[in-house]
Amino acid sequence: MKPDPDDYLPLAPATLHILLSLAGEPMHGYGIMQEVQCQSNGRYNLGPGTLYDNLQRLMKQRMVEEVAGPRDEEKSRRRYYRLSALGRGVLSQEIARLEDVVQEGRARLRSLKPRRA
Amino acid sequence: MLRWLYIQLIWLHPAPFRWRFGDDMLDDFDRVPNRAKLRYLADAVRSLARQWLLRPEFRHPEAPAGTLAAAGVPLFQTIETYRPCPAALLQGGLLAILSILLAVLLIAKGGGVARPFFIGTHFSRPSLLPIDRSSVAASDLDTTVKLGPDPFEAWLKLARPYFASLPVLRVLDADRDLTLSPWEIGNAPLALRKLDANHDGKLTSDECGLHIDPNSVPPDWLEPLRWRFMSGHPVLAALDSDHDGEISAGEIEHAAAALKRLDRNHDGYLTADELIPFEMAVRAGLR
Repeated sequence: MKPDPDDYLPLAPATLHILLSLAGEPMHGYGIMQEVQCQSNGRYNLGPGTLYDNLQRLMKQRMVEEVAGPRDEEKSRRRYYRLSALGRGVLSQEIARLEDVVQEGRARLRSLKPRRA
Repeated sequence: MLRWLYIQLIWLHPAPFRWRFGDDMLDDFDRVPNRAKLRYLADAVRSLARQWLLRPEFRHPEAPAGTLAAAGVPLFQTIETYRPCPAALLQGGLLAILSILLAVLLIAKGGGVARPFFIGTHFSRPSLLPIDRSSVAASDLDTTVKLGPDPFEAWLKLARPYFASLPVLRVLDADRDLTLSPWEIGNAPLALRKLDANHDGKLTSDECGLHIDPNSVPPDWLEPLRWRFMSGHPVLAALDSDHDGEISAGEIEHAAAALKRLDRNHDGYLTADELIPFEMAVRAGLR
């Protein structure tokens, strides 16, 4: 049976950042950590232990898969990872869910604002 | 010193995690600036706790305490009658690690006097190209640059006895060149079946090269020892994909695909640096 992306929601912050980093081209572990730092403007620092623990779990859930590195880095010993179709689906659903949360949050905050007479 | 500590922390991770991600973790640690290294150490401690406490699939199967006690082997003895609470043990362990980290940091700082930073490296590595500096002064047409030995030679030196000691690698490496070629990987199911001494279709740890005299250890220790052997060698851990301590008929059938997972640089070949256990490479100074 095909897994339903909704079953994996909501995502933990580390998982969300990792999936977001892999939404573009395949990356190695260190690249993912740099990308996460860049995405969050340096506010979220992912350590290798947390990263590889998440990657291990995401690969088991088939959201991420290991791929060959770029041709010019053939000699590199680093492992490269990319999003699978399931991972892409889960990420899209999570983004949609977060959009709803943001809309709802904005609406509620607007109603709290004091209005001019 | 911090690097050494980080290696020890990687070492303490469950074997399947260590052989899959250990090299990358160490590589990341080497790349990061010095100011972030302590954060990486703390992250490794957290990862260690997470792997052993929250990832049951990598936990070591414990021998039943009752039978071990019956064999006269005390597992854990307290003077008081109460049993320590697991949370207290965990907190104590973390506190001990933090204390050690603090002590290491103070020692590294040399009692408050910061050590100067030197250009270059304190440790020689096979990737560095040694240059004969005496040739730089007399830079004429006869200048000679002496190259060091092939960095991979050190891996091969380590691989020779390792391949010889592990029957699985011996049968897989048909041409004895200490590298598993795409053909040898594809031929793995046939090669592995040669090790099946009792023709039951699967390979036990004994058939994979573990030699234990059953009379020398308590019977309940045999299973954990077998599991540790099968998970400690990357090639065996990859072949035993369900980590049950033996290579089943199905796992032999899919041996080629399992071995390909060890091919870190995806060049189709499994070389010594991809097959030798992380801890063995660290001990030999190759990591």
